[in-house]
Amino acid sequence: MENLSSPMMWTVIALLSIATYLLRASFVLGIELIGELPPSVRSVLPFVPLAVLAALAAPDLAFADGSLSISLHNEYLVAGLVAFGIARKTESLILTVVAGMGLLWLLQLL
Amino acid sequence: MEYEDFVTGVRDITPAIPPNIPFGMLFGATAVEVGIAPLEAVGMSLFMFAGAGQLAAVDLLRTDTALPIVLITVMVINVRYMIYSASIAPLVRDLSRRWRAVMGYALFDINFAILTSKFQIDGETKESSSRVSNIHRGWYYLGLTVPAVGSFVIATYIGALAGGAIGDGLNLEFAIPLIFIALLAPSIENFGTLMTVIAATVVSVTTVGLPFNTGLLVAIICGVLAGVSVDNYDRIRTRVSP
Repeated sequence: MENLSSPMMWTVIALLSIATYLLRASFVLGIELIGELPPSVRSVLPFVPLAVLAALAAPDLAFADGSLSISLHNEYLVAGLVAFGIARKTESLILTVVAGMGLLWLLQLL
Repeated sequence: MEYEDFVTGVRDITPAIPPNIPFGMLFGATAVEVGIAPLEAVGMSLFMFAGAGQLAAVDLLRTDTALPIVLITVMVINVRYMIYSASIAPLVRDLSRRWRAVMGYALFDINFAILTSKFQIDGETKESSSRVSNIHRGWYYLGLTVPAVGSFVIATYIGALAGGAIGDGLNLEFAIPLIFIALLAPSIENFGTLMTVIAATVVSVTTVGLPFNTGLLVAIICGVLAGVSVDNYDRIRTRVSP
């Protein structure tokens, strides 16, 4: 992260913003040209964000200390799994984060 | 009239603003924690305005992921905006190109949900009163969007300043996977979505060593394939059974 200079970082932000804009503007601006989204594509898309979120979160938990650790000694994994349960039950972003962070700090103290 | 439509939009989005604020603050705080400047974090919130996508970018930049992979991952996570775009396109067909170019900015879960519930997809209004059908959809959209973006940007800045003040030692970056979990857990609603999550989880953990974090893309593809195949299997089975 430290090797990203400020101009470089703003370039990354610009690229990400343009890419995000193009996704949002795609059909709103171009519906006359590209028509509607085919049903086959429509049925695949709902799975995509779920796959991304899981693929991002899982290594953060399993490799929290730099090496693979799938055991109760991995405080990050335990806190993350409990947070998963809380998220399912409450569907609240803030409760999930607060409970997960709190549990992590507690486990690290023990 | 236009001013009134803007105000109607502001009024309709107001209940959805409070949950946005902690998200913005968390993003600001975690971005600063991994070495992004407060103004850069604010820039991301203002120009991208894509909560989970922004966090994904920060998370990947933190682990020195190759830029093309960062870009692809963020686009993949933001692909839902394309679904929203396709869904509201028939609603705004009659607006000028300029208006539609504005609406391409900051379309997100909440203003999309409100817009589609207020107006029906075929362009006919759900409520038959002329008051609703006369609403200018562009101004109404701006009324929905400006408070949402504004509060998110301000919250990001406050979070960035607070995160900088709190400093290291609290493992604040753990909020990143926690937010991903908070977004993902309630969306698992059937066998297909469950299989997506399981496949993406297993593959992402087992491919961690691959160069430039390419394992991430492999995991995403496997997750989507797992979900789609279960979904198709279910559909075929229901079609076959009497």
